[in-house]
Amino acid sequence: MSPARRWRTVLDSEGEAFDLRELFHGRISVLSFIYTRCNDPHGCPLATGMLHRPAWTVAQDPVLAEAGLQLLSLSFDPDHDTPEVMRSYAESVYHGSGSDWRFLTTGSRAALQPILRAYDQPIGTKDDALDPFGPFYHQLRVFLIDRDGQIRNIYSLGFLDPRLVLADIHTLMLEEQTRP
Amino acid sequence: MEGVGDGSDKLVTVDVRPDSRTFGKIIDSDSVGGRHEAHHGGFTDDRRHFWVSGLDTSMIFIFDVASDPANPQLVKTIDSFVEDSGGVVGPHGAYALPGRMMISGLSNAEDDSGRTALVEYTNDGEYIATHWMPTADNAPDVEGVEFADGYGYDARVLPRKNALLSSSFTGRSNCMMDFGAMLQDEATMQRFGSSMVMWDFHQRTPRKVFHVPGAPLEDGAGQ
Repeated sequence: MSPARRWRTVLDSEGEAFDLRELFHGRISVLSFIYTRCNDPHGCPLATGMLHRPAWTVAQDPVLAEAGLQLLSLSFDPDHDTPEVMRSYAESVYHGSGSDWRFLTTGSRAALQPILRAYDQPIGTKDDALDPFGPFYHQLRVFLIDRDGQIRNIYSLGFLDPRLVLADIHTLMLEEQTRP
Repeated sequence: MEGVGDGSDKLVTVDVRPDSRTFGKIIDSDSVGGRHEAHHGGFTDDRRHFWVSGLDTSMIFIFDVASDPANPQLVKTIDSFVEDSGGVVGPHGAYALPGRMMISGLSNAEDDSGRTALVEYTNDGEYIATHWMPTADNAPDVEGVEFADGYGYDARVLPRKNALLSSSFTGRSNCMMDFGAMLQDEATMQRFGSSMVMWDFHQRTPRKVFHVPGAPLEDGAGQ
């Protein structure tokens, strides 16, 4: 659809800084935007839950593992979601091994904003900071990005099905095999 | 409409806030400059932009309705729809998909008949793909091909069923002619769609064509 945007601002759960370009380079990536305080069952928990199956499948499927599939969950709540919080979140939601699932954040809101703009991810702050579903309005969107850094599909609430994501990943791999 | 206002198509905003002193009144009007038969419209999946299709001129107008909902702004006009799509004419329905819009056409540049296609753009207005309606020529093996007239009008998706349903109406040659004259012309009256198509949504390939006489027009698919 369009080039995946690249910015130098993400931190992994160990606090190491990465250029998104480096993370996308040569990998098939599934990128979701989340925040750990989200309790909306149609929001971030769903996005993270849906990535379990690809993560598990990669761990079980040597072809997919060899293809270098990676899952990226990037927080849009850097004030709260520090690398340490993301590490704790990662441990709470995913205990598997064998797949590459990174839980990322940014160092500041200023560093985050260009990423949100580039991915059309508007975030609104609720009047009630204690809203039981979490303090932010946002739209669930998950992106499939190919090895060249192109966004190849976008999944929103009604379209986010792990079988669909896996089928698209296999389609990308077939496309690579038939590329001259 | 000719003789009304400046004669141009417009996006008109009505205040629906019950506590507002302008409740129920027109609070904004944005002309697109000219008569395009701007007709059906649709919001993008994030509800930040409203797309309106110009049936007559094949132009598509994109309004920002999120920055200031009481004062929408025309932020982009697509004037290359026919060229982008490979000959589709008469953009009609604007249907939101994740990060993209699906535009159902009404006609084609070659003969102005009802043979047409579904056309996809990104939310930014960048062309992605064209999917021509099935006919005996381009989809001879599809089930129900004997009903395939290639016509289009509207489309809806039910993602959990991987289903895309499109409907049909009539081509530009009929749509833009005098209605009374059209009713008197038997040959013209034959040129109305009588099909609906069930597609494999993910693959964007037709699965089955249904015989639905009488121009089925609007789709509605429950979620």
